[in-house]
Amino acid sequence: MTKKIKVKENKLGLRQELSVTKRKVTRVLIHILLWILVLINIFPLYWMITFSLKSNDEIQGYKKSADKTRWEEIEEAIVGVTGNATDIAWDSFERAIINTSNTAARKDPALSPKDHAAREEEIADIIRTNWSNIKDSISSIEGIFDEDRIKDIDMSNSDDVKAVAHSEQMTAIYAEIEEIINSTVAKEIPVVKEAPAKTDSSDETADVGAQSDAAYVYNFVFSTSDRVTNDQKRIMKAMSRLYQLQNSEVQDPWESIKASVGNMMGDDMKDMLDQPETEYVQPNHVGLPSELHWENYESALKIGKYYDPDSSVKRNTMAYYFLNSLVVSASAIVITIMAAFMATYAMTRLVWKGRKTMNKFFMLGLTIPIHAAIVPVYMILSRLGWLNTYQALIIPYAAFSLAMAILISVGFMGDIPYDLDEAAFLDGCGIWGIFFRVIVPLMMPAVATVGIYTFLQCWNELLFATIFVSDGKFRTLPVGVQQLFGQYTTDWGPIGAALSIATLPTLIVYIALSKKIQAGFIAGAVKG
Amino acid sequence: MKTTGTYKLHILLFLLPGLILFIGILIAPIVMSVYYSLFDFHQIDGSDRVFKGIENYVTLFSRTLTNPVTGNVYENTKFLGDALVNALLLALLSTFIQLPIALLIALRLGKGIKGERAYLSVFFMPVLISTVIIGRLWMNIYDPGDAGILNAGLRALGIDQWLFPKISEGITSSTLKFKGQWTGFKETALIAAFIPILWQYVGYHALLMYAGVKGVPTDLLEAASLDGCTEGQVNRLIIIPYIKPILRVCVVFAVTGSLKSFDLVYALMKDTTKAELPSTLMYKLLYLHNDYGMGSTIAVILIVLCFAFALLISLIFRSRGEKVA
Repeated sequence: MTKKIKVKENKLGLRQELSVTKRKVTRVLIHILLWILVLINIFPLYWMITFSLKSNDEIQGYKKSADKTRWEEIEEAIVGVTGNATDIAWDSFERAIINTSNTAARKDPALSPKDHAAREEEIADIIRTNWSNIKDSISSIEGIFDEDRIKDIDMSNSDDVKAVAHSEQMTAIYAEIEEIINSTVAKEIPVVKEAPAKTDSSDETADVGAQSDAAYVYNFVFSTSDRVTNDQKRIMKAMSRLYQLQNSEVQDPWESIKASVGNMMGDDMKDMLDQPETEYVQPNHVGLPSELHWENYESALKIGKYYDPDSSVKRNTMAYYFLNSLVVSASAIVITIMAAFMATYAMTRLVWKGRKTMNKFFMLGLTIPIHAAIVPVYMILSRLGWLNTYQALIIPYAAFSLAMAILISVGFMGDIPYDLDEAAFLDGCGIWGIFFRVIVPLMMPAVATVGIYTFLQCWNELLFATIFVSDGKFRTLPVGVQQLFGQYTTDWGPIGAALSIATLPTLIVYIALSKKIQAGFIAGAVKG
Repeated sequence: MKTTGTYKLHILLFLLPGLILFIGILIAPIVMSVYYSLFDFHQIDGSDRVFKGIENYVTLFSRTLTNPVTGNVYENTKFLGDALVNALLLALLSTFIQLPIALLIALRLGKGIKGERAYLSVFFMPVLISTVIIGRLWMNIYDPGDAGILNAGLRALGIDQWLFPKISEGITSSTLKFKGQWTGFKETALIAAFIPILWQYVGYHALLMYAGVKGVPTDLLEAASLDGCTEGQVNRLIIIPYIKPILRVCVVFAVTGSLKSFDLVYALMKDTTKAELPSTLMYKLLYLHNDYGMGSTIAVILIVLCFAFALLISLIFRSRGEKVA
């Protein structure tokens, strides 16, 4: 006997041990599930509140444009770096040009997405093959500027420039260029395919020659990618001076670099250089707001369409919808509670045939879908002339909350001892006296539960509120919020604030009274 | 108490406010709906009413639903059959995915873990938040642009390339239609609409079941554990049979709720065609086509279906309950 018991105990013990490990695994899994659900449930609130405190730009993502034009940035980058520490400057220049060309390619509305990609690739190729040339041309120009003591000469002063630019110097430059070409690389000059960008012709007659020469040299320099020699640098130097001289409008030495870049890359590139660089800042959807924009709440309350001169009330604002919702919900709650208590009193406290049937009849209301009755209710309301009034919402809300209210009330009223009725009756109270002096004061807990239940039904209701009320004067908050998305799709911050304003009352009520609310819902479901 | 005459009058007076509300706004409209469903009319006052008999019911299920005024086939309007299939699918998902999750939660919380009320309060919260707001939230999640959290997540995981490759990679929009527009794409719209609906009410069912689990007498559970029952056995053999009435209520709520479901789809999508449900179809017929007869017909079908399913589910649960007992 003792052995058998031992075995049993062992078996039992073993089984329990196994189940303990199993239980641990399942517990961990269920806890993970619980926490995932917690996160998913907290997220809407978190999202809504952070959303309401962000600026419009932060939510949507925006194009941040720099203070300076691209060209100014390039200029700054190159001028700002002294001596031979120019790598950073080159990098930024390269980046700027690639950005510019990419944007230029993207900007062309005539291009299909596929062409865009091709165009981008094309431009990138040009840049890649010509980059070293551009670099050299600019570094040579930089050299000139140093030589000419650019900092001493005020290049923005047109008189200074004009002083520099006279024909003697020009011819000297031509001679210099010619000499270089003839002496060193004359044999290798490739066929000139295309004239460079047209420079504005000035009054000087030498310009025609200067232009073609410049074009010649220019094309030569830029079409020979591998032969960046000192000579070419010298040509570049000379050429940029030529640009300065032959075109009186080019006052700034940087303009000549820009012109050469523009010549190579095309006109839209030159246009892009004159615009500030834009950068797309990704929208911040999930993160915390970078700045707290409390003014969203203010503007959410003020979002409105028109000012009603008759009543001097600013209508169609979220604040007004909020008040409408309060009026409708509060009235519906009062009516529901009164009607439910009276009916419950008649069905539980007063003795008559058919009171149980009557209770069952009311319980039918629990199963009737709210949408099913819309057409006839709409017709009834329109016959009564109640469309676009508060009662168009109050009465249906009260009616649809009634069944649940009675259900809850029956439970609460059943807990009040019948002795109290009898005592009150003996003290001379009538039926009404008992109801108002004994029952109603004792039903206060039920008032809370029924009230909360009705409030939640009314506050969030959308369909009736959309259909029975088209006038902004009586519009409730959910409809107002729904409409916000159509009308003010750009004001994301205020919309977030409006969402919060619509939700926070229910949440506060819920946090304060969560047990009662849950009890109400449970009572409704379990007994129904 | 008092003489019967005045007593009855008093009873009537007590019942009167409730009865007026109840009959005026609930019962009478349903009777009227049944009546209207036999007519074809497009004026809200019913001045152009034409008696059709049960023709409305037949038309709703036939494949060509035409506008009687213009003779054109309704655009953007699916037929009730499709909408009902969608609603039944939602009901199935609700019963076999939403309710089991809720049951798991309820069983776990019901056995007492730290902060069970807090968990429950959090799970229940979506029920209280306005559907408009939940719809808006999910719209944001599903957003096909840079804004969409779902697409951003897929992008971060690198799945997006596989689901909807970039245009620059040579796959043009004509070869692949789906580019992450979850609510606008026929194949994904339905499930995209169902997920928020299922999510929103998990907490509601969990709360009901939790109340049930808490109501299981502790001596039963103690006796079971003394007999060496594992947790699974306790759940399977004691708690679930004990809370069967509540499970029945939950299934009824889930199924009828699915059939009636409207708000979230309406809030989530401007054009509900891609995820049509009977209620959205009804809304469309009533307020886009002013076809009040057809709208009433759908309303009547919905009411009948809701009652039928509630009865059917009750019957199923009752017969099973008897077998167990």
